[in-house]
Amino acid sequence: MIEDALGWLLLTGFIAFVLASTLAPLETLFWWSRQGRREPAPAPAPVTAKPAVRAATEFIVYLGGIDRISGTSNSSRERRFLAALREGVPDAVMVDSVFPYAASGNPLLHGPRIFSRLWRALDAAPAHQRRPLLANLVNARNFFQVLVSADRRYGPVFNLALAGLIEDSLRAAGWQPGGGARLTLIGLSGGAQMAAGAADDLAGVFDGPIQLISIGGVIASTPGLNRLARIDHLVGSADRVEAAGVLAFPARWPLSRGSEWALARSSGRLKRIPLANVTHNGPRGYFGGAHHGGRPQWEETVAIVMDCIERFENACAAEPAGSPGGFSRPDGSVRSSHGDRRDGSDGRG
Amino acid sequence: MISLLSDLARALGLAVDAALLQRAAFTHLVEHPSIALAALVIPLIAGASEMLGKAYVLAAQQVGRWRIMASLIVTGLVYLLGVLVWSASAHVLLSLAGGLSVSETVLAGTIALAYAPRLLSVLTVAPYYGEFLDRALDAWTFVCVGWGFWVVIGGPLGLVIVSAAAGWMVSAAVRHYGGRLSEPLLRRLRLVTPGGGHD
Repeated sequence: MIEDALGWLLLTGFIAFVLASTLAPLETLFWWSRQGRREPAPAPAPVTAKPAVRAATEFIVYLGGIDRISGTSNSSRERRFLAALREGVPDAVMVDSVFPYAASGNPLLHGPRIFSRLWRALDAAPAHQRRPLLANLVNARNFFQVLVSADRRYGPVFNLALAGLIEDSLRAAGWQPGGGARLTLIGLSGGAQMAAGAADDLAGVFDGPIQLISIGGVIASTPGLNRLARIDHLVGSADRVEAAGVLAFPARWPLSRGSEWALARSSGRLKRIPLANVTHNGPRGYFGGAHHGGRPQWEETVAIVMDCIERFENACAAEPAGSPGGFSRPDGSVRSSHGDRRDGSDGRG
Repeated sequence: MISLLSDLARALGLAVDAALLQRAAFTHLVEHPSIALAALVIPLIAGASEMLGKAYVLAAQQVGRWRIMASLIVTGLVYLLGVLVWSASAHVLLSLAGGLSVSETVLAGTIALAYAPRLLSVLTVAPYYGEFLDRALDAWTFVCVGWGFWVVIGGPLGLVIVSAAAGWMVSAAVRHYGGRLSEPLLRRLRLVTPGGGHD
């Protein structure tokens, strides 16, 4: 009896998994079919005159984890982290409202979706009443979008769409082409894959250097990694989700040579920052309140992220002039700011 | 007509057994060669299934409804052609080796039935692991063909493997070069096939 029930449960789970994964790329495909063939992006207009208001030289884009239902549905821990980061980097313009788990950018509550009623019900419920099943549905739905971004067939289309969304948000936040502003992409969990995926197309329109700070990132070896000047990968020693990501993406295995991840690691652009006893989420997570060595973990994470941003800023300033933002693009003839290991990293990813 | 439909239904029923490497599925073909002919519908459906699995090509090409239907049919026919070339090549090889007691129809039916795993090709649409699944289905199909040959030929293992492999290579070559040759025509008709120029 129990065996039968277990069998049916497994079968139902398998069918649900197959259905969900089969349907996952459809939104991207529909987005692409509606777009038609995109004209190549126009080259950034040369800056002939200084704008009346001084343009920001640094932009930060935060892409949250797979538990989000919209671009603004940051958890209280995320909001605390972002507020502290804003305070710590006051000159930077921060964008944290991009929903990275849909090619259209529409949050789960909007747009024509089969399950839009379900998402609305989930969103309407108070946080403590949200049933784990519904919360897990959001996680599962967004997890498949991470796979879409990592897929060699759909990834280029999905990542192009996401890069467009990020670009639009940056423009709305005051980014101007030709200014050579630095861009820092911060990705939590699956958001790191989305950021890495979008980096390939962002580098085509963004004329400044681009950095990725991955916080427990579940990242595939994606072409976008080649376009990032620096990748800081924060990994908790008790983070099993990040470890599962390494297992799931063979191109990240230590034996893999020639993958984008391996190239970033061997060139020294990729720096792994281990965090002792930190889990993927919860009180002991990256944004959690558990104390590690005198201060809460979230404060520690803020400090590390700010340090990464500062190092990147210094590296950009130290680079000789002649390249946008004083920093060479790493694709092709890579000249990474960390090629000489000035930051003391061992380059291990 | 009723007999044909009955054979089709039985062939589709046998496909599941063939995919599970059940000996009975292939011995049934030897006993009832009419089912072997009906089994040729399996590669047709498998081809259409694979084309659905590559729906991203259709979407990216903004292919219209009728062209999608035509692409599905053409891909099915390409699969069927592959089966026929495969079986003919294997038949020639087995004849040259001597002692062949299996008709070409049964051989074609065996390969067609062994395409049963490819009916799942539509699942390769899944992100990331879909590509892995595609290769796994290829391997699964080849194992089914090898097993089917072993059952219907009953001959030496070496001969079974060589004939199955040689037939597959000729079939793959025909698909590859045939695809290249037919590319201008398919392009003109705006049809899409897996591995074609639009892929």
